[in-house]
Amino acid sequence: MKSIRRAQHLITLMLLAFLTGMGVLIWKLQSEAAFYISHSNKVSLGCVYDRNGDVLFDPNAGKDTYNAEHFLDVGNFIGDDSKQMTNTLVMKNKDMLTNFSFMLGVQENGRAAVNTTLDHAVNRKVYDAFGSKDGCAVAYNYVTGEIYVCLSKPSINILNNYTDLETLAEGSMLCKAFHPTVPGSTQKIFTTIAALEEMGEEKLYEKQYNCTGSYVNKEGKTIKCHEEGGHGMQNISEAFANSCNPYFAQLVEDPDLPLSTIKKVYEKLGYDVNDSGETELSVNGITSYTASTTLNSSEEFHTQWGCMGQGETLVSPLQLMVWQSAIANESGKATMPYLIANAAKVNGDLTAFAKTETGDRMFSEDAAHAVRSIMLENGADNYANVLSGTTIGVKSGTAQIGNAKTENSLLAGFVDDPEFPVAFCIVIENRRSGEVSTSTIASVLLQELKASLNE
Amino acid sequence: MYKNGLTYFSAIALLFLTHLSMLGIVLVRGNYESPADLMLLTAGVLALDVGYIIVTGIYKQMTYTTDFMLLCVLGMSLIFQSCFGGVHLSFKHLITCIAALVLCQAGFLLTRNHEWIRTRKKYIYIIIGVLILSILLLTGDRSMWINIGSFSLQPSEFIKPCFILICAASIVELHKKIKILFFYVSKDTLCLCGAALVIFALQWWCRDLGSLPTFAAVFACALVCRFCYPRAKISRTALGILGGVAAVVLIVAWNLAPAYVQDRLHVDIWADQYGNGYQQCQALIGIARGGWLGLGPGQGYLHNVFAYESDIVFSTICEEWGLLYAFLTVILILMMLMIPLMNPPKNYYHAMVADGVVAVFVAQMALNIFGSCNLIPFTGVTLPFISMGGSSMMTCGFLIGMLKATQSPLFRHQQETEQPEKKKSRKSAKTAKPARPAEKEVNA
Amino acid sequence: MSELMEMLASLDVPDLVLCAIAVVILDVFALCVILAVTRETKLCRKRWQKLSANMELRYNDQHYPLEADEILLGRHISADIRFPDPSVSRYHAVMTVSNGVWSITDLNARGGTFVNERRIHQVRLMPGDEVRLGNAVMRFGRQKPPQPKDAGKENRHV
Repeated sequence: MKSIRRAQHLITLMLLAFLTGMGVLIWKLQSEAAFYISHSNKVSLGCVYDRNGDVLFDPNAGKDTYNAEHFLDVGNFIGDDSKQMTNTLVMKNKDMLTNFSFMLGVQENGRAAVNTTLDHAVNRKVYDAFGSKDGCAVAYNYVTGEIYVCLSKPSINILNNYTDLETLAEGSMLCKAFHPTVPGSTQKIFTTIAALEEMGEEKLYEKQYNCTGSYVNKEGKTIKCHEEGGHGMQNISEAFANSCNPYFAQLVEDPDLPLSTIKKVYEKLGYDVNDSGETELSVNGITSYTASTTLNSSEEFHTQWGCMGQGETLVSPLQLMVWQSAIANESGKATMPYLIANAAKVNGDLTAFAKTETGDRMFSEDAAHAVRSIMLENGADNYANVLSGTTIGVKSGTAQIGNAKTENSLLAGFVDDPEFPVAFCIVIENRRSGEVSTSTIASVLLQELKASLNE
Repeated sequence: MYKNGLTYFSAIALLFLTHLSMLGIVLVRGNYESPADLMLLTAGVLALDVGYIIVTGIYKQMTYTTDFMLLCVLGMSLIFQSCFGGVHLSFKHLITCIAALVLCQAGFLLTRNHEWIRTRKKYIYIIIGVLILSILLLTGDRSMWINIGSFSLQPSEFIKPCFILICAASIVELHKKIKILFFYVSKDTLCLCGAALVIFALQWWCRDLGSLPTFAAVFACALVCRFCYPRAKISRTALGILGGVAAVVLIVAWNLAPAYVQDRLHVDIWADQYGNGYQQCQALIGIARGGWLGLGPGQGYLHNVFAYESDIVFSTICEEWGLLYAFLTVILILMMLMIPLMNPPKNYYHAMVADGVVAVFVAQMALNIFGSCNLIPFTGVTLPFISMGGSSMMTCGFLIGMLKATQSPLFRHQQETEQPEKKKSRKSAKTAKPARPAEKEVNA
Repeated sequence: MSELMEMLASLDVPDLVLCAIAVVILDVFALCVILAVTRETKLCRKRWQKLSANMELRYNDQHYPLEADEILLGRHISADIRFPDPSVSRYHAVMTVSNGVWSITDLNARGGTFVNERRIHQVRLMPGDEVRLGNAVMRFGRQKPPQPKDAGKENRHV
């Protein structure tokens, strides 16, 4: 009867609901099992390879099977599965590396692997080029997003099995390309972009300011120029090439460039301006520091200093490199970097093919075009020998660390060659004059990379 | 038993075969030290099967399928529990299995006559009261366990069948009390709601949040039958379409829900893999390790994790026996609950009892399986018949006894109708012969 | 598919055969139980037909087989047999069965319950009796032999 049928309907409904849940559960288990097993202690991992098939990570690596320093240059970037470092490629993509499938279970001799875009040979040469200096270098294809080079010195030799932890230099176990650094004058690129966004190219070129070696701003504080004799009257292009602090202080103070525009441009780039919130940038799960700065008032010394990349301004070298792509492409949109080209499943089938992704618009195409030509002019005038036969667009920087006791040297830029579209960022820590320069390293990086890619 | 002799015989034969095939897997893939352990386990399982089949033969019932399925599930459960971490017969579980079977018969005998049990509603309320008092007085501070020597009882488990019975009774009575219903007040509904509120408050106070959804499910079933009469015009297809639409709406709402709501509902256990999320992480890793076919009985690792035999038992079985077999076990339990769909009860009270039993089982299974697999918050509820635990096993046995009673009911006697006959009974001679001799023993 | 083949190749044969046998036996057991349930259902129906004397109510050319031991008659949508007639109370009367004898009990309905035009409170029903709830008149009688299944299905939608 109806009352009984009603009860039966209810039973059917409950059982169906439960069965649906079971279906969802089985689907979830089936699709996420590799992720679960990657968190297990008893997991068999595959290898990580570079773009030429060279091994970057091997779970069974030992000093008898590999050159003792084979993994030194990528130790803190590719990492290993020891859980000593967490923000590394292996730890963040362990589920891709697991030799496991729900059908087959754990396979000791599976063919799971990750194929990266890195060029290990070039990476190593750049690492060696640093000589006795510390720092980091990162380079990628600003059209496709493939990361070719990424290293951070000092690094850790994972073949030592962490027995030398106490003797390791500070910062060995993190990749500095993803960590904050003071950008120095490379920040002037983005202040220039802000000015271009507000005024346009023509009006900005009309702005000329005098440099007498130092400038007393409206707050009464002195901003010194590295050229004690001063640069005299300059336009934006000259000041950019000279990296003239008084020029940029006067530009920031200029009522034609409201601070709100600078803030807006910085925030679009991804800066955390005055704690406005972080925007995450990550490469295949490896997270990067979010750039941050504090901007209060156009006439304030700290704000002007911040717009020149000193003081409280911090960025990660990865971000500096990624922003170059928006300039080099003349699109105002960044090309997102990636490291994993594809991954092999346990049975050897390739999967997870990388796709080129473009970020949101950060600044206008006109601004990108204008600042690109300024950077190329600077490159042609001052960095012609870096890569013979090709012009590069660059901006150098010197960042004062810890009350100007030490100075970091930076170089960010891009290659103006559709056949070889590479953007890069190089940092040398605590550089003194006469030591290896960023342009030397850039030269090694670009020439070796070009040779390697053309093979 | 006699008319379906052949079918029953083959069912019993297959029941033995099922258990023997499992023991065969243990023999080949299992992890045991000496064959004696395996022999003991075989003896235990077969003794359970043979013993119960003989006992069921004594009682004359209308249906036996529920018994067979119950026996099959219990035998499988005994094998599962005896193999965790190495083969050795789990005597504790064997005893609770026997207790469950005894209580199954008890539940059957108590509830097969719906007239009789309905009129004893007051006593059921009294039993619930006593159980609640025992929780308040005998258990420790804000606990739900009574410890007697080495045994611990969970009185809140025993409230479940009582609650189902009063729900069913209240719903059925409503139809009679139309005068009171006319004012939308019914003594029965008020009593039921009161009891439900007291039970919910108690669960909350005891922090027994795992049982709360189970009672809520039973109560919701009662409310649905009480208030939401599906219109006769709504056909099954329409209901199906409505259900589909509801599911789509739920999925869309879930995807559009603000992030903090999703976070609250979906805790990231992997961020705290060696802290609060340890059990669930290990459970999921165990399932992944087992894959479809499992590592083999006793070969797993999960038996080192707390509550491997109760709260995360589904994962432990998945690891050792494979997801396929664990899934089939769950399906077998579901089939036991499906019997009222194939063979409808002939009485509204019994239909409501079946509803309540299904609600309890489905809620517990969902909470246990989905909870341990991180689909819903983890509460720590036992899996019916599979988890180790006396209170839970006995309650589940009793509930299945109630389900069996809906299949083999006793109907009212002729003498209950007191009105004098109006016409000469033309046909009663034919039908009035006592239906079955066993009917009287119930009230004894 | 290739994964399946690899699984077959990588597993030990006895393991695989055993798992397959166990799963198949479990499935066959489940099927056998379903078969047993359908047989039991038939048996239960026969027993019920014996117990309920296979009766039905006929109202406006509709046949309502009596399939439960308590049947609520009334105007409310939750009633087992519904009469959309304003003279019928929401819960009008209840029919019960005991050993093949059906009785009808009036639930103090305003319209009254009449059997063969006699107002009653509780009375046994005989085949051929005319039952009247308010203005709704129906006839209590035996089901026609070939109908029981079809009638049950047809009436679901009523």
